[in-house]
Formats: sequence, structure tokens, C-alpha cells
Amino acid sequence: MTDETEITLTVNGTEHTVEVEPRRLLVHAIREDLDLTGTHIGCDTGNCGACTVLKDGEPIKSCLMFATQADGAEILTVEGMEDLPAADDDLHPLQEGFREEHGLQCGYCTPGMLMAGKALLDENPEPEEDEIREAISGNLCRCTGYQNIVRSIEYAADELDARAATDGGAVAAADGERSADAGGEADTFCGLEDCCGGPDASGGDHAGDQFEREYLGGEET
Amino acid sequence: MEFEGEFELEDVPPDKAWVVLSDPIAVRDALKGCQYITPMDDDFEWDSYEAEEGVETLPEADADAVADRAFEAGRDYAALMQVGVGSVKPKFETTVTIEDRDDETFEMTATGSGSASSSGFSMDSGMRIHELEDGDGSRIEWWTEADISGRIAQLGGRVINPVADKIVNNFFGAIESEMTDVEETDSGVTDRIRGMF
Amino acid sequence: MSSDRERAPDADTEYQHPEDDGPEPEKHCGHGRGGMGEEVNRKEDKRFITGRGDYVDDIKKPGMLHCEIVRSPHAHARVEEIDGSRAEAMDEVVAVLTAEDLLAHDLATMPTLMDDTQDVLVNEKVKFQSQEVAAVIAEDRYAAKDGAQKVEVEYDVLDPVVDAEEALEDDAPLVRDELDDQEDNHIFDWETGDKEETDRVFEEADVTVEEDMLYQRLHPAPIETCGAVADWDPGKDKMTVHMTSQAPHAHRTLFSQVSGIPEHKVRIVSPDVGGGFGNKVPIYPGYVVAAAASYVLEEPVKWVEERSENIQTTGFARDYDMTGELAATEDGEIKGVKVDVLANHGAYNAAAQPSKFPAGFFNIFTGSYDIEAAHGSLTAAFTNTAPGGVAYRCSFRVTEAVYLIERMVKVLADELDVDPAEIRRKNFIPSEAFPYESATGWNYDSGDYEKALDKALEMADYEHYREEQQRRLEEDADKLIGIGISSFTEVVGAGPGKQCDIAGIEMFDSADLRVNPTGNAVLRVGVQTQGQGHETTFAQIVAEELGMDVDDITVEHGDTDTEPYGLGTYGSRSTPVAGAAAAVAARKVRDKAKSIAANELEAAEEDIEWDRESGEFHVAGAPDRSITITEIAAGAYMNHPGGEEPGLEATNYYDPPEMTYPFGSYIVVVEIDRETGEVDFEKFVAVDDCGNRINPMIIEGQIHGGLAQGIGTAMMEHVTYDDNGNVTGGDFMNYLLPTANEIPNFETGHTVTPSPHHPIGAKGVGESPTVGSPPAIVNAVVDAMSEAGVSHVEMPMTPDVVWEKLDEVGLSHQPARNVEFSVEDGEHADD
Repeated sequence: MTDETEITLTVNGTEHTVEVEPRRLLVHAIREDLDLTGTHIGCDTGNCGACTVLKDGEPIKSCLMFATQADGAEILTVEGMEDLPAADDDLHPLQEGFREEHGLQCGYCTPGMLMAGKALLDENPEPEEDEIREAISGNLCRCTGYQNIVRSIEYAADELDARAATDGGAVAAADGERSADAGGEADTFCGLEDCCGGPDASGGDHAGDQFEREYLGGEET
Repeated sequence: MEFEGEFELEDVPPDKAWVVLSDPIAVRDALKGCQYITPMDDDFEWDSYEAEEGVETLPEADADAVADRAFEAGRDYAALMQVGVGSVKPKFETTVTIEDRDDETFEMTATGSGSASSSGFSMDSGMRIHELEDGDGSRIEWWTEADISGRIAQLGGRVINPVADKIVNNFFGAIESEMTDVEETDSGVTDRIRGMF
Repeated sequence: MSSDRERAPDADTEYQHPEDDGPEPEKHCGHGRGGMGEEVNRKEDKRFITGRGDYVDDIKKPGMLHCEIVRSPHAHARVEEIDGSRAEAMDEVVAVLTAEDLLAHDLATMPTLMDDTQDVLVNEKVKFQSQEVAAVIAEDRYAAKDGAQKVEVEYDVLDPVVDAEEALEDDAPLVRDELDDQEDNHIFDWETGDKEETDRVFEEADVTVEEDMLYQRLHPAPIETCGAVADWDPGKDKMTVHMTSQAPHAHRTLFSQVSGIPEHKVRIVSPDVGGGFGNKVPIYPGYVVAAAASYVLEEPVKWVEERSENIQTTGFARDYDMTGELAATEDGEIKGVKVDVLANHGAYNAAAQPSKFPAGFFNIFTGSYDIEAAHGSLTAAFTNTAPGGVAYRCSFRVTEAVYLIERMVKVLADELDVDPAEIRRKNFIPSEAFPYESATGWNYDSGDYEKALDKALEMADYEHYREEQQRRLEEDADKLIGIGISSFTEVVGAGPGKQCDIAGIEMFDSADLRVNPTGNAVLRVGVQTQGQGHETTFAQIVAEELGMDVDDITVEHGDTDTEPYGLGTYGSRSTPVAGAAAAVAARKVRDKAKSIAANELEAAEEDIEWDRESGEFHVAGAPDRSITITEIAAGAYMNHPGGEEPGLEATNYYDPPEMTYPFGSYIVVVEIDRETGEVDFEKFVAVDDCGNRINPMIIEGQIHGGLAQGIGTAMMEHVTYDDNGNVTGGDFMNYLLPTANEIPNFETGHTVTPSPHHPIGAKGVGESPTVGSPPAIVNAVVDAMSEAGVSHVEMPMTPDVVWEKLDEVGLSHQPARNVEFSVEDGEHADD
């Protein structure tokens, strides 16, 4: 074992000091030194995204970074989501979305998906479907076929938007997830540049109507 | 895997090229990642052998010394070669056997095999030096057939081929600078090498 | 959780309960308590979405050591010497194990499910690249890896053979020279059907067609790799292994046999499993090595493999090289089907099949069609590749069988210039013909194939796309349309004990239901979810059958110390077998509940009725004299009827009388770019019939996932080898799983044709989508070019493969511009 150095990681709002070898991967430091096993390992080539966390707000694959490279950084892992201001009833709207829309089966890729979803919504609160798919294209899922994951993220976008609309963006702004301005606009427009002015985010299903759920509308009775 | 190619040395005549390419030290110097190429005597041990540093090559070296150490047909040589391919950087302990040397046609063939902790290879190689049609230069034709196994091979041809190309191009580039330093071959070196067979 | 109640209106209104009498089955809608047909949100989700899942690699035990396996870089080589001294010299390395060390404990080899013997650590000769040669046990995972690099192995490299056809040639290297009777690489031959009759039919037929097709080597690649934490307790002489297992009890029995530790002293625990798909059915050397190390060192030992180890050495799937033939009348009535298969089994015969089925259920290749004559033959070969042939979400080779027949039907349709939907309709087993015995001996329980096809055609807007296809051909459009159909029938739910066994153990399954005094219950089952939602669906079965609320039932699984013996989850068997056991156990409890109700209501037991809708027990003719299951539970413990045992519990071990036969029709519309060969999915319709549906939301999720795997299969996945036996498709850079960008939105529909023999009429559905979709996708791509004469495109249909085909028949387009690249200056110029 080569010489260890001391690093400081602020994870989910709590500062931790750990001693790590220079080559210790961030994902191992999170999982084993900090006992936060929600972040997972699914491959050895940086392709699967199961290890995705937010580092200073940006989604990164923690298997592709040394712990020492994250010294001094703020890290958000899946365990921290339920403590975010937007988490009502113990769950963040993204987590709620995954449950309501059945966005998980075995659950192994889910933490990474939640992180990727959070990063997306922080930057783009009203994503189109192809933007969602692009944002999660670095996260592999073998169980769900992605369709319900997309729906889950849309659910969260709608939910966060609705709350921003009703509280003027106070909660969302505190969360750091979107600017307070967005709240005022949400009543009539979705926030997109080329908004067509169709059914609005607070009541309608601006993005949701793309997904006709067969067993609601189209099936035989 | 099969690799082959040609390299032109504009101002280096075939017999000069032959002398330099027959010098294990010159070859070692020109081959990036190669720590040593040394005759493999019975008492050679990988773990204990240390490469000689600072050995001179032509034009500084003594012509006789260079001729003495030239590659010999039928002899085994040990080479330690580190190759970097993507994230895999095996250090191959390689045994090379010079099969054939013909100093009329300037052709040399060799076989070899190398092993590193997670990869291995065996190869069949050769080179032939021709006169360039115009001027004084040489055209060096080289080929190798290699069976590669292990980690490094899993990366596949599309990763290995560019690396192989780069190694070869760097090698000949370095040899070329080496050789264009060699203003005049002491024809005695060439004759001495010839005379050894 | 109020959401369950809110879900009730979405519930499946087509659930027809098998217990109902009368001409009109009653329609049930989950009754608002989370029963059958309701879209109950999954009870297991909470821990997964909050990062509290409990997977094998999350386990940390005091004193735990890490195991790293030293693997062979060569595909075929003799091991001359293994020198672990440099590794052992490291401070943090505790031990280096080789076959020699395992021999002392009789653990150097282990049996496979197909009666072969596999090396745990290589004894004399390496038979496939990355095979396990030695193991390093160290204090932390980094030291273990360092140690593994320091183990020096001297190999005498041999020529490998990776192709099955080459392996059967006379001069091929001998893979299994250690077997006494083995003089070549031939493993076995298998035959099914009636050769004579089939040959006669072919001779007399108006039309015959033939096509070669390869079902390429795939890997299940669940996102969680395999692993185990083995913990030998010398105080109790007990071995506990937490492992990624789809079948904990079967693994316990096998483990006990291999290790010699008596079964009652072995505990296997399958915690949360991050996807299985068949990958976690076999026993791998890593598990055995970890257990052996723990036993010797008396500390817990963790082995978790890397992704490249997973793809290169754990059970692969498929690798069936098939030639199919159909014989038909000139108006498209199929008279006979023939298939010949060359099966690559890798270096050992470790296929995970029921023991009497060396080729799995492949002989279901007559498919959804009424075909009188069938014959199949198969030859299996050893090669210097990893062992496998597991059921990757295929119910024991049903994927291969369905691929064969659905592709051949398309080939025939094209030959006769008949619409592929119509030719299917013409040949379907009619709905009145069930139960139907196929030419190869399967008893299909129920089906209504035309109904599913009609529904799919409607959802797919079939006529419109046929017109569009034609228009584009006429206008020489840039992108072609192709429409592919697959009307599949699968056989799942293994299975009746007399037919189906795993290493001799009959394939029943079990459920143990215990109701508490406070009216809630624990259901323990012998199957093992890896994402299928059992903690919800099985609770729904009990909620339905007992009148309890789904939230009041906890489902437990995975611990051999507490769960009743079961054969595990794979082959879509959980609902057909363990689901049946759960329903039967619930009904046994319901029977006892009736006697308690009688006692409480002071009525005769014969006069007690149970009302499915309200879930209550009442006196016949006096509905207001009723009692809930909660009150009954209290009575069972506090006022039990004389002459009976207190408590309220029942167990059922269910031996299914038959297999079940889910079916469906999938229609895929593709758009092919003539310049690049890229294939886009314009429409992807899946109509499935899995009998009565427990949770439509969970079923839909399963379908989506399987369809995505089907796209991976058809378009991009392939475990490839080079001539030196190197796995060139052995990690996620090269073995490509589809991402969200490659998967379209799916449109799902369903029909309901209950299974007549199943207690709740359900059939199982997990594998239908992986079985049914690849041929639909290939049929679609072929369809885009069939008028030009293309009859087949091999999987995976990467853009270069598709473009080559287009080019072959003059359908390709050249790029509109010439683009020049200059690498040196990094610029490109286009004209």
C-alpha cells in the first residue's frame, strides 16, 4: 500500500475526512470509507454510469475519478436526495417519480439514474423527451427499457414545476435547482424558448401526453 | 495479426542501413519502450539482469565493437519491451531468435515470443533492405505475423494497429536520424560483419 | 399508502377468476385492496430509490478479506508452473490459492448442471481465455489486485479453436483431452420429432424453403455482476454465503454436495439482486474459491467480479447456428418444419437446463402453428470459449426456437409473395383446438393467436405502413420502410416434476403463508426476484385470495434458513409455479378462516361464504352477519375453534400439472437509411397474452425491458472472439448494451386467455419480450429489402451489415458529398 493522504469530502452536506491511497477511486471511497453503498459499480470501463454522483453540481462517473481528485469537493449521492429541500414526505420528486412511474425493477442502475436526472433538471427544468434520453444515455439499464425512467423524470419535472408555480419558486430556489424567476412564468408557459403555448405545466401534461398508456385509453373493456 | 510496411531512408545506402539495423544497441536505442536487447546466455536471468547504459553506437563507437555484437543467426536474444496500448501497459519479457541473416540480399528474419503478466505474444518477423530506385537511399521492407493473447489483444485490432504503426514509424524515424549521423561507414565494419558468416 | 386506492380505477378489468362458476365470468378490478389486476405501486421500491438496497457488494463484515482471481491470458495452454511467492510476500496478502490447495479439500473441480466436470481453478490445462488459474486473498481489494499481478504463471501455449464448426473438423485441437472417452470436440447429438414422416412431407410438398441463420453468442450482462461473501463460522460449523443467486435452495444443495458440508449447515442468502436474466443461475468458480478460502482462513471472504470477468467467463447465451426448412402447399399452408443446429457449448457442458433437456425446450420450434410434421437435430461441440448456454431470458432455448420459426415463416411468405400476417393467420393453431399437442410433444394449454395478431395489426397501423413502404420504393426515397411480425408462443413455468428437474430436484415451487394475530401476514416463497417485483405481485395474489390489504402482506425470499424449498426464478416460472403455490396456500388459509368465522359467527362451517369483492366472510343469506380476515386472525390466536390447532398458517409445495404457454404478436416498423445502413424504429407494437394479469404496470415494465434486450440482441450485442481465442467482445466498450438513445417508445397491448390449469389463470410473462422481439426486428429489416431479393440479414444488424445488404441488391445510396479527411492538419474539406 502506497502512502495515504488525507482528503476532505463534503458528502450530502456533511464534511468527512478520509485517508486514501493516491490511486483509490472515488467510488470506493464513497462506498467503503464512508459506508454510502447507494452508489453502485457495474462495469470496469466507465460505460455503465451506475456510479454517477454529483460533484459540485456536475454529474460525474465516480469510478473514473480518484478520491484525491475530489478533495474539497461537494458531493451529492442518492442517500442525500431525501434531505434536499424539495423532498416532501421523505422523498424527492425524482424518487417519487421513479416509484409512481415504475422507473425501476432491480434497482441497481437507479441511483445513477436519479443523479443523472437531478443534474438534468437542475440545468433544464422542462426537458423534452429526447433531451432526457440524451441526459441518461450514459447510464445503462438492463431491466426497464428506459421508457418508464423517462416518464419518471418527466413526473419529477412536472412536480417540481408545479411546486415552483405555487410557491413562487421559493423552495426550488432554496434547493438550488432553478432560478426564482421560473416560478412566475410557470402559470402560462413551460419555460421553453419555443413554447407553443399548449397545455401548461401546472395543470396539464405538456410533455406527458406523448405517452399514451394503452391500458388507460386504448385497451378493450 | 499481420503487420507489414516499408520505410525509405533517402540518404542511407543499403549496406549502411544493414550495419546499423544489425546492431542490438542501435536497435534498442531506436525502439521506444525497449530497455535492453542482449544475447541470452545460459546464465541469463530476467530478474537479475541489468542493462548496460551509455553504450556508444556508430559513428562514435568503435567499429570492431559494433561488428562484434551484431545479430547472429541462430542466436537467442533477451529483450525487455514495454508497450502502452490504451490503459494496458504490459512489460514483455521477450526471447528473440535470429533465424536467418543474408548479407548479400540484406535480409534478416527472426522469431520471438514475449510474456507479460496479463498478455503474451509470439511472432514471426523479417526485413529486407533494397536499393532505392533514385539516388543513394534504401527501401526497408518489413513484415511480422503475430499471435497476441491476453488483455492487450482484447482491445482488438482497431486499437493495436495504430499503436503498432506508431512504434514502427518511431523506430525507423529514430534509426534514420541515427544513420544520417553515420557519415561514412568504415567499410571494414561491414566486411567484418560479413566475414563472420 | 393511499395511492393503492387511487390506483383501483386503472385496474385491469379483464381479470376472469378461474374459481367463478357460470357462463359469464365476473370481472374483478382488484377491489381496491391491491388484489389481482391492480396497478399497485411496488412495495420494494423505497429502499432502492433511497440508496438502501442491499446488494452483495454492499456487505461489509468484520475481518472480511477480498478475493481476486488470477486469470489466463491464453485461450488454450498448459499450466507448467504457478509461483505465488512474490504475492505471498506482500504484507496485506493472506493467501494464494491454486488447484493444488483445493485438491486437498476435494474442491478442485465441481459438477455442472449437465453432468460435466468443471475446473474451479485450472488443474493442468487452460481451456478458455480468462479461465480461473489462481486466487489471491488479501486484506483489501487493491492489495488483492496487486497480489494477482505478482503471481507468475508459466504457460505452454497451445492452438485454440473457438468456432464450433472448426472444432468438429478432424485436425481441430482437442479441448477436453483430460476426459477418458473424449477423442474429439463432439459432446452430444440430439433429435426430436419424426424424421421419416417429415422427410416424406418435404418430398411431397409444393414448396420448400431453406435458410441459414445464426443466433449469435450473447451475454445476459445484468448491471450487477456476480459475487459472494462466504462466511464460515467455526463456532457453529456453519457456512453462510451471501451470493448473487437466482435459486438459493438449489445452490445450497449443490454447494453442500460440492463442499461436503452437510446441507443443514449451509445457509445461502440471496440479498437484493441487481438483475439476473439467467446469469446468476450457475455456480461459478469464484463462489467456490471464496467459500474454500473462508473455510481455511476462518474469516469472511468477498469475491465480486469485474464486468470484463463477467462477460468473458460467466454463462453466455445462445450460439446456435441453425438451418431451418419449411414445407408448404402453394397457397401457404405449412406442412412440415425441419431444423438442424450446431451448438457451441464452450469448454464445458455447463448449460443451465432441466436435466432431461440437453437442448432445453428448443423443440417448441413448431411455434404458434398447426404443423403436422416436424424434425429437429442438433450437434453440440466443445470449443476454447467460456462455458454456458444458460437461459438468458429465454426459457431454455425458446428464444432460438421462436427465432427459427418466425424467420422461416417470413422466408416462406416472401417466397410465395404472400402477406406475412395472412400466412400466419392461415396457419395458426385455432383457438378451439386447445389444449393442443404439438408434433414435438408439447401440450399447449390455451391460446387465441388471431386475436392478438389482429390487435397488433390495428395498433401498428399496418395498412398505412404497407402503403408507405410501397410509396417510398416507388419514389426511390432516402429511407426505406420495413415491417416485421413475430407471433410467438412460448413454453414456460418449468415444470411438472416428472418432466423437469434441476440436477435431480423436481421443479416444483413453494409458498408459506403465516397470518399474525393483528391481521397482517408474511408470505415466504421459494423463488427469488431480481427485479420482477415479487414483493408486490405475490402480496397481490394473497390480497386477492384472502381479502387482505396488499400493504398488510410482506413477502420474503432468498434465505434458505427461513424460506421453503424452491427452485428459483428463471424461465418465467415464478408466477406459474410459486404464484400458484401462493394462491393455493392462501386458499388453505381461507378454508381454515372459514371454520374460525363459523366459530366467531356461531354458524355452521358449511354456511359460511367468502365474498371476493368485499373480502369478507359471511353467513349464507345473511350478508350483514360478516367478519373480516383481521377479526378472524385475532380469533385464530385468541379464541381458536375446539378440535383444531390455533394459529392461521398454511404451506403449499406446488407441482405444476403442465407448463404454461404465454403468447403474443409483435409488429415492428423500421426505417432504414440507404446511405448509412442505420435502422430507426418507427413503431414498435407488442401485444402480449400472459393469461390473467396480476399487476399490469409491472407486466408493462417487464415487456419494455425485454423488448430493449431484443433490440440489443438484434442490433448490437455479440460476444466475439479472434483466431487466437481472445475475447474481443468482452467488456462494455465492445459488448454494446443499448442506451436510452437506441431504444424507442414501445406501445403495449394485451389480450387475456387464462391458463385453464393454473389456480389464478396466470402464465408468466418475463421472457415473452426477449423471445418474441428479435425475429420481429430482423423480419422488419429483411422486409425492407425483400422485394429486391434479400431473404436474411444476420444479427447483430449493425449499420455496416445492413448497408452491405442494401448494396448487394442495389438498394444502397452513396453519400451525397465526398468528404476528405486530413489527419495531420486536423481539417477536412468537402466538395
